Amino acid sequence: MTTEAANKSDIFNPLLTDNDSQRATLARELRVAKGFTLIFALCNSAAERAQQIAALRSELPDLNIQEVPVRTEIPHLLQHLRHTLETPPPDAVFVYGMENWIRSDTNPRSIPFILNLNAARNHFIEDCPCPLILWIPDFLLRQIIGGAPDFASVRSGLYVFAASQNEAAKTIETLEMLGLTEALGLDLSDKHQRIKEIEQLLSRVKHLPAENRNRQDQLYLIDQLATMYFAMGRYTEAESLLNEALQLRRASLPDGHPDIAQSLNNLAGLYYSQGRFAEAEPLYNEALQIDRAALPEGHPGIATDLNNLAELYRSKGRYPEAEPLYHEALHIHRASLPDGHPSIAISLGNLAGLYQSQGRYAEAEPLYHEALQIHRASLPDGHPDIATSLNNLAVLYEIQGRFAESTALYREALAIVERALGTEHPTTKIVRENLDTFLREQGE
Amino acid sequence: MDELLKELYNACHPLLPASTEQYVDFTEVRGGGVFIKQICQEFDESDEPVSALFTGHLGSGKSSELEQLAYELRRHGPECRHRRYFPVVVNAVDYLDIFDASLLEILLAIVAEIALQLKEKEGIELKSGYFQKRWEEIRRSLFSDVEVKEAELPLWMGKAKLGLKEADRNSRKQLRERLETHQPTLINEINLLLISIRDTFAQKLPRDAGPKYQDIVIIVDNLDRIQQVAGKAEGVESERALFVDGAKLLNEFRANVIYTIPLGMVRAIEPQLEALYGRRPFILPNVKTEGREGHEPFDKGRAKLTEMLLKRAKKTPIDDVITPEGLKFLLDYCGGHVRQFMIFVRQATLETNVTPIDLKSAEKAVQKSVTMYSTTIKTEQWEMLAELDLSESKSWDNNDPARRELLENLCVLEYMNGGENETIFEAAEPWYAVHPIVRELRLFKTARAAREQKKS
Repeated sequence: MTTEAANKSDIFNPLLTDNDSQRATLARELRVAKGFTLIFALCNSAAERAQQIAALRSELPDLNIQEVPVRTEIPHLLQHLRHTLETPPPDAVFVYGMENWIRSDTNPRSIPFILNLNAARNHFIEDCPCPLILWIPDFLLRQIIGGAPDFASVRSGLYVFAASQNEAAKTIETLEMLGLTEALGLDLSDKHQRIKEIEQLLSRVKHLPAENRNRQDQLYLIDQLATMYFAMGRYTEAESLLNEALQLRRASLPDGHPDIAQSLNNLAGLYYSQGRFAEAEPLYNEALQIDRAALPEGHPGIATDLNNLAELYRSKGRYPEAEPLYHEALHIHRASLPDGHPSIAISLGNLAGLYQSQGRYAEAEPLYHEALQIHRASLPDGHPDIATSLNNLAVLYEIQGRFAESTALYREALAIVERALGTEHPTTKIVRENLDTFLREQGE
Repeated sequence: MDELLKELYNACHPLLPASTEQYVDFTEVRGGGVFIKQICQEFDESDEPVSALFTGHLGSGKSSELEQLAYELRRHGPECRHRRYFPVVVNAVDYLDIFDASLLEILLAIVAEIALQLKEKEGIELKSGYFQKRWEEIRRSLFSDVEVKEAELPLWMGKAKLGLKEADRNSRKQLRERLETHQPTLINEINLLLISIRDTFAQKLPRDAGPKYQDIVIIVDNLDRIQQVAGKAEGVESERALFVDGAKLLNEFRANVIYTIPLGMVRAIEPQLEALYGRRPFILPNVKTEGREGHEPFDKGRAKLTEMLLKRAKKTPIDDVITPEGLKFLLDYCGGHVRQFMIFVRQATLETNVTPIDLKSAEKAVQKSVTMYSTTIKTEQWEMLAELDLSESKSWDNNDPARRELLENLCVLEYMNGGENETIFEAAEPWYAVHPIVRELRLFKTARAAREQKKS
């Protein structure tokens, strides 16, 4: 820990938290607090929560901590505690699991669990004579503030635990890049074949004198080649090609032409997949601005831009900014594309991913299911996007503790990506790592 | 860990109103007038029973203020010079289901609490054939799903024996329908009861010493927390059913009564309420810690909050408790909202091992409250907040549900002009400010900058 005074903007950035120091202060509060004390511990990931609780237990070996999981609906927490609280009362009670059945889009004032928190507020002092720590995702805090304002207002500590980067990396996001879905569907030898063909064509075009060169063909080839490299995980080659395409388009097309937006999206997608978010953001923004001005309202191209920018915000934890973009994208896709189009599945899967990052498991699951269904119906067997859907649903099941369902999905996903992308592709690596970690943890 | 830190942590429990020793009179720095002094004066001077409305932000110190009023009344302090009052504080949420309440139950709750407190504090048992006869119904109405073994409980034992009823709304509904026809009788019976209490007071003590009490003051706290009245839509419709349609009934008590009412409602229909209750609602604004125009520090308000901190710490000088920089930081970001300031202090005691609490610990304490605000603001509300911050009038439309929500979840805070020189409520003029924590959030700054740019 550094000792210099905190940067002021850091203090007010809710995304900047250090789990260890949050936990240290929480542990201190548990030692000092007497009687009923309401503490919120925000954690969007069930897996991270379990780790934090385990760490607290080992750091506070002399405290008797009772865990009360609430994974299925109960109407009244205090009544539940009256029956379940140990006697004599523990030194602290941890309650969690409500995200498995409370949704963020339900009016909190129609959820009995939340209403009763408010109604029974003053009775917690007598009937829960120890600190009560609610481990919840942040959407649930919003629901509690909305539906049980008096309860929320007497809270003591509020601790925020970020999900580990590892977990975020388990989910595979899908960016929409021109032709990427098709490219990913090819098997390895077809990809090599395709790359060879394009490279030959491209070198022939480049050797033509400038006045005979078909600029559109040249750009098409550059994009295609970049896409193939991208699909193969060869990012350096892809980057220089995408940059070249963007420069050529900026030089030859009028400002605000939708093809420039496409080029921007492609390059930004590449930056994004390498985690170069700061470079990607202005490009995605420019693309969205161009398309909003150039394309008719509700055009799928706008949805692509929205989806990509939303993915970026989500990766940076800027969930409130991401959500409306995802919704708009999904709305456009549903309105403009035939039922069962793979782009709809991508929109669904990405929105589900956002919900999952926010701990909104009850909302994420049906979206993942629909996405998987669409992918299975619309893509050829063995397409890696199917594996993406499988993997992401498996991750959701895993963090909810639904291990049996999780294993089968991981295995199917891995088989698909190994065949379609080869064993060394980043996506394959993610899925394999997920399965290995999962099996290791289950084996323990 | 420093003992002082532990004590201070536990002295700042956000669920408990200030004790008499902890009470700080914030009157002159809240603006808006002198609540306790003026209400006592009205009680003393009015020939007819007074029914008054009292409001303020959640956690602004309403309960502390009402407890202090009760204390003043009971000890016959300097604020109430003429008559002696027996105060009865009714905590509405002890009796009512805040999502399914009725006027009738409010009446019954008042009776039950009066009976309980007279018994506990004065040993007086109320005798009323009517209520004795109705007791079973009252009990089931107020405590519907609780099993009672004893067939006949005296009235005063209601709350103590049975505890809060919990949502069993169907059986309550039937009972309520039956009792509702009794409503006019009920209010008459309650008034007879109140008159008999005054008579008991008068009879009870030796003439030469003068009676211990002459009258009763009923203080209904937490009535502002009722969210839904049975048969009405939640929110505004329910509030109107209670405080506007119910005004006649709430005014009919033959005793002085104070009801707490939601701040947003007062701001939306203040003139109507004034006409119905015969006086303007009393408002407890936030403590001013900064000025209206440029958020410049307001030292008097800050000094009062510091005084509160000292009373809780039971230690002086302040420099032994917290460094000047640390204190300034907490004051800068509490917005004069008393409970938030206490939560800051409480949290800061956990962020250090030694006193005085330093700036770094204060920063960490404030940081831990940021999510409480950042998480509640919806996309379309940033623009409203930016608009308020840039406006010259600092006014706020509480008839707009999205804006009212921001007032209710404390992202917008209400203050009043007036103060040290003005002691009457009529001089008070509300103004609003975006919570200082919200003003630091990135999305707020973005919205504010965008709006500023558009203006110029």
